[in-house]
Amino acid sequence: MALLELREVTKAYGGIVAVDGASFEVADGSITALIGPNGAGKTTAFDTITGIVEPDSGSITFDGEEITGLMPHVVSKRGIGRTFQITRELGDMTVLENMVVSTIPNDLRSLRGKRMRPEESERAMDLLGFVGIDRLADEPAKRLSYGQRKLLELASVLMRDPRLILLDEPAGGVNPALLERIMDRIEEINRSGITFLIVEHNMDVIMRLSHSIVVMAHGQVIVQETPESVREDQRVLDAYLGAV
Amino acid sequence: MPLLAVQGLKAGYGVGPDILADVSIDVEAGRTYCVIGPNGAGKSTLLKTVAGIVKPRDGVITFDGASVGGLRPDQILRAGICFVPQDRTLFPQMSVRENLVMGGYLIRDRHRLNERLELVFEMFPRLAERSAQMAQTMSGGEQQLLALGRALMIEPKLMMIDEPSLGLAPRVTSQIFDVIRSLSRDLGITVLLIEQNVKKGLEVSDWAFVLDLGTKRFEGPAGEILDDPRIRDLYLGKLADRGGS
Repeated sequence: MALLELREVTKAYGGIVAVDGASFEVADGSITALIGPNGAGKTTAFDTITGIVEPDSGSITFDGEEITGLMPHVVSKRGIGRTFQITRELGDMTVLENMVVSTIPNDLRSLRGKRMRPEESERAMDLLGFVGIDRLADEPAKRLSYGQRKLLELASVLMRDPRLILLDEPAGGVNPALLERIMDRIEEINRSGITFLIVEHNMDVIMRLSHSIVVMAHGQVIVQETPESVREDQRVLDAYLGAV
Repeated sequence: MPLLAVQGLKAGYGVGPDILADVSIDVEAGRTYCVIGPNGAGKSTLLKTVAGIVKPRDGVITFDGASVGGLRPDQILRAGICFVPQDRTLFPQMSVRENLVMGGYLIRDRHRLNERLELVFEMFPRLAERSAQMAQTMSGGEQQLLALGRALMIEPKLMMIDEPSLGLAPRVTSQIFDVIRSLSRDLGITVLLIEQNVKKGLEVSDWAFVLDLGTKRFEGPAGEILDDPRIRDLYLGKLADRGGS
């Protein structure tokens, strides 16, 4: 069954059609990858799902319900989690505080006077332990290495109990040892029943993790198939190498 | 002796990881080279490091017999290496002519400056026609021509061009590539090129370097490199052994 479904989604910026009638499905319980050369429209497609960008046309359904054009915090409440980069401001907060902040949806005023509830911090510590950075809980987030930040982002998205997690470049700039741990944790989370949609440039990571791969080029979905088929598909290779 | 020799080059941004982990390439004078590889391979960083915009963390860069690693961009320019970056970095509110003059800012002799201007105008009649036009009002293809023309002002020995076809229509792209081909063929300039349209970039090149994750994986004649089975692994990844962990 498809947990997430895009039908003929189109989004243009001025004269440039970033996503051009894209249709694909993310099966419930799967790790699905969204790949394609630079400028293929992957990020825009992502943004239409999370509600950051409203599509010009087409529909997006999640768990059988239309979510097209909903605001990001509403999409998040429905059960679609996405990771957030640790900004400069968040970098001054501790790792644990970052975990708890991530549960506060969209309204910074509600931060005022807020105390961390014991069950919140307990859950946060559990999840930090799960990704292996619990010993860094009281460190300012800015002290984390790049790979550790990715692990924190992954742990904090879990605080919101999503059914579907959207990951944007989980492997980008991560050293091989931590990369192994990140992949391992993604697989472990997936085994617990959480679905993933991943944009990633590291193809070895994609080929290892995904059950299904959606290939985009020039805003369109060229194919959606298994990693094995994608590897052998000349259309996919040509999309990466360009035309003469 | 190669015109440009890069050995064991390591580079990255700020406190971030090494984008170039260990790159070694030799570039012979008068030929055109294309650097290919998937996203994040380090292609642009390689060019920026040779140009002095990114400081090398380790390794040796030798150009024309002298060590240029770690020099400032203007010193490297003076040595004869000109970099045409992805975003072209024209002076948008200056005229075509003014942009070209800025490109020749190292030239102290007015007579020589005018000679270079004439040569660029002769090569690119389109720029001559539009010499008074403000750069920002020109089409993408014309702006790329201007960026290439501006780089020619200092009579570079090596031109490094990052993604010349970015944002250009296919027909315009072909014109730009005709120009790039003529750089080595007609002017004897050595060219180091990155191009998103790999097939197109290889078409105008003699030799290709294949980069992946900050290292040079292999190299070979531009016309044959795509036949290498490793290309598929590189762009589409290796299939994992799904039995394993």
